[in-house]
Amino acid sequence: MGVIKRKRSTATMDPQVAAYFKAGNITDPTEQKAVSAFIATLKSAGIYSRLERLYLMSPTSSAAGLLDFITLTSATNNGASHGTSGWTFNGISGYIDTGFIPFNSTIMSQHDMSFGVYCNSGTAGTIGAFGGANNTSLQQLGITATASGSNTTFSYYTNTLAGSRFSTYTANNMTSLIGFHISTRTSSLRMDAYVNSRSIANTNASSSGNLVDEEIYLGAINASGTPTTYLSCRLGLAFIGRNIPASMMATFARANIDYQRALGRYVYFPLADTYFTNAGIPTSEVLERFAAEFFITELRMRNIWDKASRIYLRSPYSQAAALMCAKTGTSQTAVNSPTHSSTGLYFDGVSSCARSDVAVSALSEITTSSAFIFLYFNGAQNAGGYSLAGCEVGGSNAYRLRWTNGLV
Amino acid sequence: MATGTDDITFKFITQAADISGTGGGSSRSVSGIRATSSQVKAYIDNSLKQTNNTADSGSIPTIKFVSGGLADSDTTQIEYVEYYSQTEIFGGGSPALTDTEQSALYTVAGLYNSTLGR
Repeated sequence: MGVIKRKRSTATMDPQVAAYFKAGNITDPTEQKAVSAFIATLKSAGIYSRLERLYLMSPTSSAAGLLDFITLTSATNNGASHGTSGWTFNGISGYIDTGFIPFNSTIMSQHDMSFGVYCNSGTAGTIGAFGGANNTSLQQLGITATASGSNTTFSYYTNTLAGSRFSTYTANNMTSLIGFHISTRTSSLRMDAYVNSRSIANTNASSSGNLVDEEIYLGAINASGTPTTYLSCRLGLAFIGRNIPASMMATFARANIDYQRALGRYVYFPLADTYFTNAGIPTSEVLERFAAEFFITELRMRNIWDKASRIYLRSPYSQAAALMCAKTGTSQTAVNSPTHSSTGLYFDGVSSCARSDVAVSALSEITTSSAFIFLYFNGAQNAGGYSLAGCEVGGSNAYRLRWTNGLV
Repeated sequence: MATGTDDITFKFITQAADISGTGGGSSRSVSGIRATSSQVKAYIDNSLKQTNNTADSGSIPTIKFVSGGLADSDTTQIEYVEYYSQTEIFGGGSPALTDTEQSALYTVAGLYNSTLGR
């Protein structure tokens, strides 16, 4: 009987990944796979080389959760709680000291810096910081959130404390802190704020100071050596480094989402979660959930959500989901059997359509001075003189988009 | 994919913004905005095609909105059009939807649908 020689696997682990697993005693295959994929994506996209500190906030142990992936140095915990979803900060006294001082960086500069966190739980209150540092010469790197009534103002700092030199963004009727927040300065005259890879604010104000000469804290601001501005939240990732260009944001955000989801700790934006529940879209529909989460978060962060009366995402999952309004949970009524497929909700141009749940005049967002209709579609056939959507009473009271072969 | 010419009218109350003879056989999105009490705008594929600044009067329709045709009452529809609806949003808000927000809607809807492979 011949001897069957088993071929040795040629797959090799990234030495830095292997070193991280060893330093953190990380043996769980799921986490190992998630980290390997995350780092591989960051490296291939050119993001990794821009980072000076990267806290993956391992679920394995608090010791592993404090490890910086890049240098394998440990941050110092001061009252934050470790769990499988990351680090929870109590908003009163808990914080993590990364020990990293931007002023000592070998790759960052006064005009080239970034700080980012992935927050997977938290509600804004009085001003608090996801993290950062400032010193007496008024240099600062960090992100804060402040609730004002039902609104939340996020402030993104990259030099200096002066009011005109940071970007702020106020999300109306929202107090959730969930999201991948990034503050980045790409030049002496430009800084940007991003949430979930999308630009939400920017400023052209100059960066007049040096890099901050204090250790970066998480869950609070290091104000010249004293922790202040604590924030009640839970973080699943944090990083510090050179600027992150706009072209890399989508890849970075998607890679982070994949990493968090692989660890089972990805938390959907609350409004998206409500939509998934109302529409019956199960957790197994990963791609659709990712797409819808992105869409809803975008509308929410841009305050478009508040202006919309009805939002139909035309879910590919089911006709019932396709008829469901993502904002209100109310459904359109199918009239004369429109058909459903992964392409969308199909209207035949003969008799099928979908009727919304209440009269237009009953929708508080729509006034005589403000209204809009937005349609995104495919496969439209222009039969000449017909309406894509809307309603009209007696020719004078209209709210519709009409498509014709000639002028109406 | 659209065929023929794309002559689009966004009409709110009695005021309309018309877009005629623009071609655009591959259009994926149309939208209209009532920006003020006397201004309506119409877009195809994120491109502003016409603004109408004529003063207006009238009332907001007291019937329900329909997708795929035009409602002329809460029980009857006319003017059907064949298409696959992939994202539909309507509303108003204060202040009214801006050009920037309309553009963002177009971008985000495109990303949503391209992520879904459609």
